[in-house]
Formats: sequence, structure tokens, C-alpha cells
Amino acid sequence: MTEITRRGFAALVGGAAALPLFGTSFASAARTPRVVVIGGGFAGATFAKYLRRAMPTARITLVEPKKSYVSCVYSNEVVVGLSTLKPLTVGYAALAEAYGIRHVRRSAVAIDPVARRVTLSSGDKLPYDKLVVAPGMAYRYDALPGWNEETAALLPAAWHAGPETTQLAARLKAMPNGGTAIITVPPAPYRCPPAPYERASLFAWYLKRTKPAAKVLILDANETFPKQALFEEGWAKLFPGMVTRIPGSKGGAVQSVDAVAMRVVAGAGSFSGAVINIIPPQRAGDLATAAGLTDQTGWCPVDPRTFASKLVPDVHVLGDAAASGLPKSATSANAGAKVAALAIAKLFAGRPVTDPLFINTCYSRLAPDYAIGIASVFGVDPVSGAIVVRNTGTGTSPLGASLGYRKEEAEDADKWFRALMSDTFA
Amino acid sequence: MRRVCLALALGAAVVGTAHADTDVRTLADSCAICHGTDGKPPRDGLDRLAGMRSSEFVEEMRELRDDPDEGRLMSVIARGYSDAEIRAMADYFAKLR
Repeated sequence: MTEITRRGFAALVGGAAALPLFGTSFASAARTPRVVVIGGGFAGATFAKYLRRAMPTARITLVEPKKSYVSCVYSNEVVVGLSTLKPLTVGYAALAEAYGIRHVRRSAVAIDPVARRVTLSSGDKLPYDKLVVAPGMAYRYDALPGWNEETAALLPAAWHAGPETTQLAARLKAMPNGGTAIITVPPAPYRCPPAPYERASLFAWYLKRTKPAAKVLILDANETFPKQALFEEGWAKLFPGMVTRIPGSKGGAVQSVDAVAMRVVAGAGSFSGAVINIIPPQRAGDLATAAGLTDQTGWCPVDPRTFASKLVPDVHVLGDAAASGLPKSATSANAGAKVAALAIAKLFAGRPVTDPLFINTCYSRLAPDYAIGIASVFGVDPVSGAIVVRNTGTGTSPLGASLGYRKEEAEDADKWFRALMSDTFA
Repeated sequence: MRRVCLALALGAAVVGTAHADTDVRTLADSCAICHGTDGKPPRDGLDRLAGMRSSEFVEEMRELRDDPDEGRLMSVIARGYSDAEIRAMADYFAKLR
């Protein structure tokens, strides 16, 4: 397998490589930094765009087999019919056209950190000076007896947005009036910590209108969760008696599931579900594991100032796959990607890396006109090197706010989502 | 005080910003998740920051920081920046069109 030639490369990626604005002459190509980004989710896409802003002449290649990305953010709305997948779906044309990012529609199958080359599913090899790996999270099919590749079709997780979202929506719709919809929450860390509780809320909103005798049961491996008081206040106010949660200390951790009998066994007992939504235990995406970027936790240890892997040189890991100390959220992925882009530009220029700053913001919708939020501004502690809150820049929506306030937050959430999508992909 | 307690409850340590050496691009780019790239939000979005008068930006951020009822989540976020950082962002966005 040969390295991709410039001519062959242009044929492979189509028009993007022909952009004169970002093209490099053959003679100078050897000195042009080559950055390869694997994965086109919130982290990878933001990184590619913001690296272009910091390095106008770098050769930036995005390796992503899919033509478009489906956002997990707002996909709970799709499950209950408040939205569709269409506004959550975005292509990579803007990154290619406006930012000169070459989009290679292949999977990355291996990394050679010594020769600094990525092997693609086509067998072609892509050389790099810096590699950025953003494969997201993968489900652990081996962690919960009864939940595996086969039974996942019967018990859709819908923790990747797309077909699974539609499958879960169909199951909720087909649920009888009077059954229980069970959501199981894995041990932290997992993608989007408040999302299981947003999903439970929207299940309850949907069921109250269409199947009012139905209930929602959360079987939770964890003791507490983000925005807990705000969620519980909302459940009591909007759907009294419909949502029950069993925390880890009361036997909430799921031990096994039977997809045929539609039963879940937890420490607290055996529960029958008309709908069972297993949110599975998670780890860093397959490529990160295969490339030796993960430690015993299943996630990738990184330096939060640069997102450089602590295990493999010249490789940086972004987004959910990274164990940076940031929450596994879309906004953290976006924020971390910008910090990494500026840091890598400075490393190429031989300049010192400056102190990072990250905002994590997350809204959860409990009903169409009722949302709650959480936000934190993070920096890095100069002594420990760990992610820490800056000053007092962390908090949530207030408890006890009016319905008008929650409606304003629902409008804030819509504006936040549109800006996040455009800041990442356009 | 409530915010500090919350931060501790979340298990996160708290650091001051007085000696942070953060590039103004990092400060300004952090706003983009809600206010759009370069402070230019999509249609029907939150406030446009690009081209905002520097004094107005500083004033807004101080009000948000000091009055928790002022700007919903933005009041929380405003607390994460030092006065010097707010002034640096104000000058940065004022020059963008």
C-alpha cells in the first residue's frame, strides 16, 4: 500500500483539495504542516475549523466515512416527536468549502505513531505531523449480561443519534397505556451526564398526553446526577407521580436484562418494562482502543492544556474519548477542540502554549416550554494540572423559578443549539 | 457563596484567574458556542458581540456578574472571567465587523 499521491488524493476527496486559497505548491508541500483529524463529530469538526483559523496554510484532512453527522444534542426531542432528525443532521460541505478542509470518506483502521501514518479502510496511508483522534464513545457490548450486538436491536440505546433514535421512538409510540418505560443509566463517566434524565422527563411528557396510566422508571448506577434538584422539581410539577428513580445505593444498578421476556434485573429487584431503554456502559471509540491511546479505564488520558495523549507522541485526543477532566458533552468537545487547535498552532510555531479556558453549557428540556440549564467556566490548575472551575463560574438555573422563566430558558436552549451547530460545522 | 458551594458539591476545585495567561482568542472563542463564531450568531440567535462597543461589553458583563437575576445562565458564565479578561474580550469584539 502506497502513500496517497497528491494527484490520487485530489481524486479521492474531490473538489475540496482543488481550492486555490488553501492549496500549497508542490515545492513547499514538504514544509507545510500536515494535520490529520479522525472523526467528524463536535470535537473533530470544531478542531478542523479552528485549526484553519489559527494556521491558514496547514494541510488539514478530516477522515470521516459518513457524509453527514447527526447531533445527539436535541435527539431526545426526536424520540418523543418534538423534532425530527433533519434539523440535527449536518454535512461537511461548509468545512470543505469555507475552510479548505479535505474530507476523506474512509475509516481510519490503524495508526503507526513511529512512521506517523494513518492507515485507511481503503489500505491507503495518510502521513501526518500531528494526529488528532476524536472517535467519540463506543458502547461496551460486553459489560451487561443480556445486552449485546444482537439484543441491542430489540433494546435500542439511542445514545448515538440516527437509526437508533427512530427505533426507540417507534417503541415508545407502540407502548400500551399502563406499562412502564424503563431507562437504565450506566456508571459515570458516560456521554452527556444529564441526558438520561432529560429523556425520562420527555418520556413522561409524551406519556402523560398519550398514555396517562404509563410510568417511567429510572434504574441508576449512580447516586446523584447533574441538575438533580431542578429535574426533581420539574417532575413533581409537570408529571406528579409518573417518574420514579432508584439510585445506586438503593439497588438501582442494572445487573442483567432479558430482551425476550422484557425484564431488567437490578439490585432492587426484577422489573418488567413495556419499553426498555438500556443506556450502555461506554468507553473511547474503537480506533482509540486499537491505537493504544486508552488506559485501564477505557478512556484516553490527555494533557488538558494541549489534549496531547499521555501515551502516544504527536497524537492528540479530543471529545468524549478523552479523559481530560471535562464533562463528556458537545459543548466541552467544542471548547476543548478550540483549545487544542490554538495549542497545536503554537507548538508548530515553536511558541509557548497559553492557559486554556473552557465553557461547558448544557440545557435539558423537560417539556416543550420548560428547560433548565447548567454552565461552568473551567481552567487548568497551575499546580496540579487538573481541570478546575475558574473563580465562581459554575452554577445552574435557579430552583423555584416561574414557568415563564423556564420558557425563556427553553428559548435560550434553541438559540444555544443553533449557535453550537453553526460554530462547529459552518 | 451558593456558587462556590455548588462547585465544591460538583467535586471540582476552584481556581482564581488573577495570574492566568490566556490568549484573548481563547477567551473570545469560548463565547462562540452561544453567540456564534466571532460573536456573529445565526439568525434569531443570542446577542451579537462582533462590533459591540467596548464600554457596552464591559458594562453588560459587570451587570451579569453582579446580579444573578440578570441574564439566566450568562450570569453564571460571567463569573468565570477576571476584569482584565473582560476588557481584553471587549476590545477584541469591538474590532470585529
